[in-house]
Amino acid sequence: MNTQFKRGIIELCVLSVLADEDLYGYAVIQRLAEHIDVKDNTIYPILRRLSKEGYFETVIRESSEGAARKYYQMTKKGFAYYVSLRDRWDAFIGGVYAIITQKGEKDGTLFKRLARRFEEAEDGDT
Amino acid sequence: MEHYLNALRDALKKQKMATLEIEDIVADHREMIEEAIANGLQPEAIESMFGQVDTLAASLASESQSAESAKKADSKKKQSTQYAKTFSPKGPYHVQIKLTIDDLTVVKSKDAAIHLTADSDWREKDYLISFEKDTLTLSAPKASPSFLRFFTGGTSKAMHFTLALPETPVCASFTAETISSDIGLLKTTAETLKLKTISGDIISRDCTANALAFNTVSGTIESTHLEAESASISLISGDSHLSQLNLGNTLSIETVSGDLKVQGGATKTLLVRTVSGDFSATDFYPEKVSLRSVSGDVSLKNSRKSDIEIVAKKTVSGAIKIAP
Repeated sequence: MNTQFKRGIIELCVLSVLADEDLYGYAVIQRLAEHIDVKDNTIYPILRRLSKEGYFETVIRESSEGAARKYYQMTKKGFAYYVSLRDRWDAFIGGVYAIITQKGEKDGTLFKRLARRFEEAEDGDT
Repeated sequence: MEHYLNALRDALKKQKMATLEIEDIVADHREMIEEAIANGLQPEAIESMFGQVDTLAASLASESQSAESAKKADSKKKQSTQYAKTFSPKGPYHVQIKLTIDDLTVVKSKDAAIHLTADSDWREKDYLISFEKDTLTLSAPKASPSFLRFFTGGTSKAMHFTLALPETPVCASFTAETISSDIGLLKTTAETLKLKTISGDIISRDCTANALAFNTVSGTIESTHLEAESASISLISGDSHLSQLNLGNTLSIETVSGDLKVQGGATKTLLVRTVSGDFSATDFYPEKVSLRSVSGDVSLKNSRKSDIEIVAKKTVSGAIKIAP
């Protein structure tokens, strides 16, 4: 997948999980890994940048399992940014789906039509 | 793990990152890797989960740069688009505001001047701002672009104006009319204070006026610590909550379907007219009341008994209760 595109999506995902609750770094990665392939660890650099931009604050909290953890907490600025990003994303993805599904037509119908066209073109060549 | 962390430290050094930042990143990775190992990650799988160190370092360096440039762009944007203007009234002054979607906050000025600031993308051509004949006028739009944008769903963002008003010289009159703008008043003092919105909310804290009128169609009115000689609160469907309301003379309330609650305070005369909205007051002490409702309930519930003269008390199907 295109790196920039993936970066944008991961940014939105990181903001989404942290809009829901405060999490520590590994928990953010785990939360995303449940749904998407995050093997090359693009999450941490994005999490770090978003914190630097003031979208998250970090707080150290003791854990019951021993070591203290660094939790990421969404700020007011982060929430405002998340809301505006979500708006843009929802509008964009809505548009993209409208285009790729051709106003609700099933992929199968599209593929059949294209396959028929290519078959006809090949028949014409012969 | 130590091997991975050392390699990461070296890779970050190659990216010319500051030592403090490098150590912070390494510490974060130590925490995450320990957590991952505790959750069953095999040490040999660290790289596949956290990334090859050179790639990770390069990506951290590039994200770090973009954070820096975003910060610079942000401060540049703030400098270039912010609007601030000061007006110096020589005597009692008037303020007239007409806005559509932009929000307005009124605060108390720290000096004897009026300060107007805007904190979003400033579009000077869309607004008319003047200070003539002791009157400050702020209106949007000059012709009607903003208004049209409101209906055509244009992309322009609403602005947020902040207006600081001095207590001396006094503000003789303050009137603001808006469509969807929210208006916030903080420690505002004016002889006449009139606010009117269609769907915008009105919020006031610690305000003083001789004559006051808050009017909204579907917005809500929220007020605490309000002192006035007479006040008129009028709403159609928005709900309202007023607390610590002290009036020298009359409080007049009119609502169609919006509910209105008053908590704490006193007035000489209380006039309530409601169609289907409910009016309830607690610990609010009027001397005279006139209560009229069609189907809305009207109640006055106080913790101590006081003499209340009932001038009128009429309802079609609502309930009117005064206690004790």
